[in-house]
Amino acid sequence: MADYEIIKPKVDLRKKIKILPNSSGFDPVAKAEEAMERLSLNFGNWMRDEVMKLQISWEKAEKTGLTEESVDKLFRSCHDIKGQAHTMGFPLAGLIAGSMCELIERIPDPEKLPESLLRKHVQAIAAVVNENAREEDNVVGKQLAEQLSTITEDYIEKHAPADPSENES
Amino acid sequence: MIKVDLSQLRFLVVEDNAHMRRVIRTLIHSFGAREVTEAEDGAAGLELFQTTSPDIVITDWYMPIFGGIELTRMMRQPESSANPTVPIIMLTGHSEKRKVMEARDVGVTEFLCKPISANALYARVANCVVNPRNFIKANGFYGPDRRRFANPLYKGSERRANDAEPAQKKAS
Repeated sequence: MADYEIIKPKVDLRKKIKILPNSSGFDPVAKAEEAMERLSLNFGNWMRDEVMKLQISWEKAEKTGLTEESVDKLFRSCHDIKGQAHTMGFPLAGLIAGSMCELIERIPDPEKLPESLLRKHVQAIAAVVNENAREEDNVVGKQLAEQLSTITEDYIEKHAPADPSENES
Repeated sequence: MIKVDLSQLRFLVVEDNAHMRRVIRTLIHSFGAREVTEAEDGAAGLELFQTTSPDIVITDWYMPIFGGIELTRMMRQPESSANPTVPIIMLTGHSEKRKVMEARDVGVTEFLCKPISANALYARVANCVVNPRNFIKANGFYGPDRRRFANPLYKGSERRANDAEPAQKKAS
């Protein structure tokens, strides 16, 4: 007897939708892109909000020291920026936030995290957003992102425990 | 690209960041859906899932209280979930292979790496509704069949344990 069971989905969603002919004139992706274009008027302010949250998390972390709690808040802030910066037209800020997330994820012991390198990430994200450096090829922003990424990779290589995914095929 | 009228579908979006919720809601409404419910963490998401029975759940991975992985695990509980076969689209900034596998192993239907684009999200929503997959209930797994396609030309050995037995139980 088989050691598994095949189950049909409880709700057949095909009964709740209609496939539209190409002649319908409805283009959901184009419509969504237009809506995003309108929404993008807010993106600058939204990113500045996110930067402010990051700076507040950082100030708290500086006061209390790098503890599990303060690092967790810091990680949440930079993770939010990593996830939305590209969508909101700030790819360089997303790259720098990604580097900061990588640093925190790969160095799980808060006491081993380099405070100055974290501070530089926070300052760089704030600078890129406040200077409205939106283009991916912004010379200063790009250099900043690359340098931080290189220093971070070096630090991780020297101080991080082995990454289990590196052994995966 | 297949064009689908999604106006009768109910969506639940679970995402802790208000700006991203707004972005996702805007995209889904633009796709034609009318009903979009939102929750800002896994716990609130689970409560809304149980009470509103959405047709599709879109959840973030990393959230306070409990995240998208734990939420998926709870929604896939056949004994307690309002709809254990609901399509779940996981949004995440994590693209590492082990993360994708972790999401698959808890029963996520579709995986979408941020940054979100209208095209990528629409493709996943459309795939959930147009090409629904059967679910597999096995020891330690409850989720969509990992085999997205049946290949009639496949001549290799069967890798699913005991699959040589033709008597598969089918439940509706």
